[in-house]
Amino acid sequence: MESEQAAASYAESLGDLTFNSKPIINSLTMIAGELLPHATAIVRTIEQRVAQAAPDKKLPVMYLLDSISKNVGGAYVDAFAVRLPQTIGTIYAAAGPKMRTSLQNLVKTWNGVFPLSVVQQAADIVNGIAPPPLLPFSECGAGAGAAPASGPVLLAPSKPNARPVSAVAGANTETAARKRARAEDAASAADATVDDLKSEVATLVVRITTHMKTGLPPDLQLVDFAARTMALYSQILARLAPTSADFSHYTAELQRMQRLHHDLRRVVDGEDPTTCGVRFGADGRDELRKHMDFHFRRNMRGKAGGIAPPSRRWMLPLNGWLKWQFDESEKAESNKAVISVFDAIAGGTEGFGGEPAPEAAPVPLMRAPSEVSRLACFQCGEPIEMFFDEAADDWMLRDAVTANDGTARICHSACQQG
Amino acid sequence: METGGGAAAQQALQANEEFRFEVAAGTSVTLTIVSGSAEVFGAEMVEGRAYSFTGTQQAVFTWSGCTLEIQGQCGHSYVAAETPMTSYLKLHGDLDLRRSTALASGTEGPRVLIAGPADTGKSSLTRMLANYLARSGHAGTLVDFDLDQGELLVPGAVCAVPIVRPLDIERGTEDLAPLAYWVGHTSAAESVALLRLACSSVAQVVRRRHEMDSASRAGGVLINTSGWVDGAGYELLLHQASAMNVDVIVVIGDDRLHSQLTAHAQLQPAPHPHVVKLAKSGGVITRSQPSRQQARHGRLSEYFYGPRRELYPHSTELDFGVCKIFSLGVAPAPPISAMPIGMKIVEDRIVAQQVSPARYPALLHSLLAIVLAESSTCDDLLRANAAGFVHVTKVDMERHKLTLLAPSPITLPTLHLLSGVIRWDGE
Repeated sequence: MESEQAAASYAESLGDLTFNSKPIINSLTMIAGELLPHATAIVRTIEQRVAQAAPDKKLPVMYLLDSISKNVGGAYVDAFAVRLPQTIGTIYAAAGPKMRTSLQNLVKTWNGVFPLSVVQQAADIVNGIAPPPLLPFSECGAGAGAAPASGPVLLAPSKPNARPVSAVAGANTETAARKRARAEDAASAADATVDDLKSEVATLVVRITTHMKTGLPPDLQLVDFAARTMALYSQILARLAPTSADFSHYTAELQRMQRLHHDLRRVVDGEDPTTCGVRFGADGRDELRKHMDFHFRRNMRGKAGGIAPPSRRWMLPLNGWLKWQFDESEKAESNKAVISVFDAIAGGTEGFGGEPAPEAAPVPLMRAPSEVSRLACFQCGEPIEMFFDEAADDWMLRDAVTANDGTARICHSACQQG
Repeated sequence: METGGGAAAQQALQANEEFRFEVAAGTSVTLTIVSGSAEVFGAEMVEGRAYSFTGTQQAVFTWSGCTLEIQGQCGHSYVAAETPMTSYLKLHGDLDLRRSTALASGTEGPRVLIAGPADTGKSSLTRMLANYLARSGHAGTLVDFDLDQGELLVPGAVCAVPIVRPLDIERGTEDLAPLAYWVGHTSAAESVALLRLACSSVAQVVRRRHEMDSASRAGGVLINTSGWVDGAGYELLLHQASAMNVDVIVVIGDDRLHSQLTAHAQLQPAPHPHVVKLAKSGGVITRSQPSRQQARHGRLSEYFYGPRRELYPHSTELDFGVCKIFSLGVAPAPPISAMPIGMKIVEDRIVAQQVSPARYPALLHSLLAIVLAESSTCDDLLRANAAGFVHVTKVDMERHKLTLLAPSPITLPTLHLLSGVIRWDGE
């Protein structure tokens, strides 16, 4: 039931993905990462979306599939791989020449992400070598997780996710296909000798240490590596005699990796987003989603890339307080006294990287130069109001324009000389 | 039991046991529930998540047993098997029943005042009851009349906070929406008249909010008070109880106060307020004046910089000319000879006096409140709620500039400031 809820709410979020938008894909990827225990259900949702979306809206969903596989990985890769040729086939059949080129380029990046045979099949389809398999989608068989039990006095928790990758194996959300895939995994794993596993683990450990040595910030891939290493350690331990010297060595290594994995998750995800102790009843799905979004936004605040320095807000005026309602939505997050640049600037379609054109705006706004903390109009000498815009994620100057004399000087829009 | 250096230690707790620990300022201790369930002052801890604590005394209680992993050096820590938690939960059960009835009938839920001498665990109990309230799915209002510690906001202000979710165990108060009135003193005894006025204002606004919002009305109010319970402090307590229209009074650890309040309640028109006596928890630590002072400074630092220094305050410079700073005080009583014969002064009159720029140097390092007053008349200033607090970091008499540390980068909502006697040397 939790899986169905997760899938339904994810399907709703997927509705936003109608064009190729990196921020939307990023956020959907993060959400997918948080819903890892329900990977199977989420994967079915995405596959259905690929099948059902209008032809011109299929590609962004494909990019999402790509992003989740590469950044979250784990159970997602397995689950996507099961039907990847069909998925690719569905979109290829509906694609025009331009989109087919995009698909070809996409598939080229899949080596090492998906199993070789699957990538080969996909490549054959997008290169027109093999006909797309047109198998109907079977019914989504997301397993039924038990509804959260209610305590006598206090509501029971809903902790639908926040399980490390390695724990997913035991999740009760397996479909037949997933089970088959896992059975194959298990078969191949059973064949693997301890030495095979040891060498595999050594490769992963080298990759992890290399990443750590570069001093780069940890990313989702690193978390995935750590999770896979943990899984391999457990497999090795299962094959060793508990008395051997190796056993204690790998036990220590496993514990070390568990700590690393835990630390990494804290760095990458901030605090675990679903585990703040707030519980939701069985009918609290929408609230739970809002609550997750709230954590997500809060965790994004002040992260690298987003420069938003979080500050305590001024308290509400009397009337505002009287009417204050608990609301975790985005609207409530942003301070209503501040005009968002996106409200003010129509047609700013450049996306997050583009510079909005201040002259076109009803209230001329522009990004504040990064090196100043306060700024005076070069014409009248009065200070120009500077505020932080949460939507633009940057400091903005209100009612300001650059001088039209060719210099970079800044003045009030009213002070600008015709 | 002392926990070892940097290594993680495991601590198993039986059902109904409490793990109490102190963390010195500047050091941090991380707790993780490995198995089982536990709560910190009523807020549930989530299994597997690491909670870090700095410069605090905390208690982890478990109803059903749990295993904790502790990382870092606790100042002192021990496990207590005897706690008054069952009586606290029973109180919550009674209150919850009243709330459900109130919700069904659209009437007002319980207004609970928690009273007791200093260091009896009043604010911990208030916090616990607020968390239980939220966990039971109710909404309500948490009111703090204790100027000394300012746990919800800053010392020197009384405030009311709508409660919908349990209070965050680590994160403090950043996500709350408080309504605050400035008193400017940390001692109730030195600001009785002002505090009475501020409490009345809070009571009035909370009542208005509850008239508009049925969910908060049914949830009722939880009121924390100061530890001053004798003489004028007792009178103050009665004033607070009547202003908030309290119908349940909880007395912790003071039999005399309990009997006084019970006798007083009998004199009230029916239905009499219900007076409950609860035992003080053995885990309460007696705080000395210096440690209270230190805690206040910690609160101020949290207000501006956040409990984990994740917030970014903003320094701003104001011309002497543009801002108006007022000090609040009791008007000097007119000489008896100037009064009509037989007339007595019933209540102290409070006046707001503008501070002249010549006296600004005295404001250095003090905390000022920005109040949302429409005009600078005395009435408006006294009735205005605060928008926030600023810290005077520099007074430049030559350039006629004040440098203020403000919590938010957004321009000061008004330029009406109230002074007080709360000082803080910054960092």
